[in-house]
Amino acid sequence: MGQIGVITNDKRQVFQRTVIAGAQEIASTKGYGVLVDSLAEDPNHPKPLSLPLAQIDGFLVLANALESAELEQLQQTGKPITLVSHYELNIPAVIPNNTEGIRQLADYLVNVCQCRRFVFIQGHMGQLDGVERDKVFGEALVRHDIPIENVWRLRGDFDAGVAAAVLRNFLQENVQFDAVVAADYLMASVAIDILREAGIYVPDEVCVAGFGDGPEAEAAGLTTVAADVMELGRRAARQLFAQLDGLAIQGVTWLTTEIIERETCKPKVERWHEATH
Amino acid sequence: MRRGKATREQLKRHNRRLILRSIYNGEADNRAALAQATGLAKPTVSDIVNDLLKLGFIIESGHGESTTSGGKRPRLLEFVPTARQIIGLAVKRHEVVAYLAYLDGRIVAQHHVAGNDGEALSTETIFYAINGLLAQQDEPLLCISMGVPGIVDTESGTVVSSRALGWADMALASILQVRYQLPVHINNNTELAARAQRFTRETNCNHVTLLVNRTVEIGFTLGGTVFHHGGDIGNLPLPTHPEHTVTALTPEAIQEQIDTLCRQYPQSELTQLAPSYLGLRQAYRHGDEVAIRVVESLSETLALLYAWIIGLMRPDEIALAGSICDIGDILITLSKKKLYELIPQRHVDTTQLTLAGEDNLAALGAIAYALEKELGVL
Repeated sequence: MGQIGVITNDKRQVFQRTVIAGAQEIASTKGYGVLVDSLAEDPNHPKPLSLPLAQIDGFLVLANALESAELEQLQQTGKPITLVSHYELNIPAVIPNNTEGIRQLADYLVNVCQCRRFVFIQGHMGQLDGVERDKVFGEALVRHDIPIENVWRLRGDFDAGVAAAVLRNFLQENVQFDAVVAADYLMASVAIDILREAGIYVPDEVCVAGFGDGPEAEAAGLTTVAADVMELGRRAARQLFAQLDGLAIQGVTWLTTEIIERETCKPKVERWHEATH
Repeated sequence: MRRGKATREQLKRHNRRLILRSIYNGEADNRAALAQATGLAKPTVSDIVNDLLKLGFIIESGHGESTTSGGKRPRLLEFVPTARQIIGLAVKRHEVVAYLAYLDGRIVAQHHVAGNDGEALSTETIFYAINGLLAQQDEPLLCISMGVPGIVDTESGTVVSSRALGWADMALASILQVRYQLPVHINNNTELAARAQRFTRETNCNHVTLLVNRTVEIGFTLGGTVFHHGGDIGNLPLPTHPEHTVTALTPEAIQEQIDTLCRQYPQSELTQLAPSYLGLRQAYRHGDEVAIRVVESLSETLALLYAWIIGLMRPDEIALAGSICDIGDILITLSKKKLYELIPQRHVDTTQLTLAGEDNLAALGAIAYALEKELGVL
């Protein structure tokens, strides 16, 4: 039986385990096994790559699990590689359409919810997804002529704990804002709790939305914009198997995103009505 | 003999397109209604419907009401948008953008491939983009449809000349047909962009699309029908500055202008911003002198183009497409103001000047073109 290798930082995280589940689904239909190398379950003591490279037919590398130099070494095995949510060294990749998604979210918050003062919780700025979502959000607000002074960027690192601490500190500054947007749904979910702890009504006073979707977002009633993460895993595996079948691929496949409207965002007129009755 | 057979096949194909279009557009949903809507004989309709059922393009979806005279309730027919998928591409000077879509235009995935820095785009880059989406196909492919900048012989699928790509007499459709064993349709990017816009507007309107990327291209829809001889107008000189051409609207020309002005106004915020139309918009709103001059000069060039188009054909709408739209409504407002100085106001006011926000209209138009060429729908 053939084997594909999945290289990730931490296979226990929601995003990573969902992508891996999607990839496993496709691999099993192709009669392949999946070996997972989880390199940084303890971020302070990352492990070196331990997959038996000679026995692996192709690799999926999730987010920024490998540095460029390590990716180059992996390329030297001559085996196909697909990157997930990351793109470099001309290696083919599958990525949620950050541009489309963040634009949809900004359009929705400005046009439908009529929000004008934004807190943006950034992702990890060492990861492509983090950098792109931050950049595109800023650009989308320029397209709506929202002045740059009405946007506060907070560090979140794609880590709910970091996002919670930074948002708590920010609230002490008593800045007026009417929307919180987070670069992922886990940070957005924790933002709802922090705002409510501080006595801020969501969505009557502040709308909250995030990128990506999962059970936690659904449980929190969070409005999100998402490409299905399981589907991301499936599509990445399909790209890898296509390469194994001999298709020459370069460039990036972007997955379509859509707004999932839940309880944490409402049109201004409804928010106003409910807050005053 | 061969000729006779071809004619029968053509007729069958024509009839099949009539039937499919009637179902797709909701004009008829059962065999009797199809015969009435298309004027075809009932046995002919029945044969074609059976073929389409076998091919999976339509399904029977229950029974309708019987007629007032009684009789059997008709079996309802429904178009199946997931029966096939289409790959629609837009080839640009330095990149290929490709969409994988179902027959209702729903996009499943996009694939982007950038060409090598400073080199003309190669056909290999197109293969990479198509392969990227072949990996993602969920259903059999109907065809590949593609837009390119430049002049295209759509019958043979040959790129006659493309200044942006540096191609001449490139038999692109044949190359791809041999490689992928699928029907391939090629057209000009701006014509496809116009086609994409046509489906969101009144079908009989006169519509012009001006696409600004690395060059300036024009596409027309006249009375709802796409005019096939638009294309690259980047070489047209500006009457006010004959040493310049309409490529003065392109990002490269604007950057040159910004660099020159920034030497004169070193305090301009554009010296700090990454070059983009969006940066220009931001600086303009902050009252930056360089941004104001550049946007005004762009409006002047645009007003000249608008004046020619309105003077020649009085269209109902001229849509500006491409990343230049990032400058926003101010570009239209200023252009219109300058346009009033060039032609009578009554002529200006009968034409709507708009911004087409979508970045990849040509790739979307390629999908619409495929549906029209292959199935006769839309």
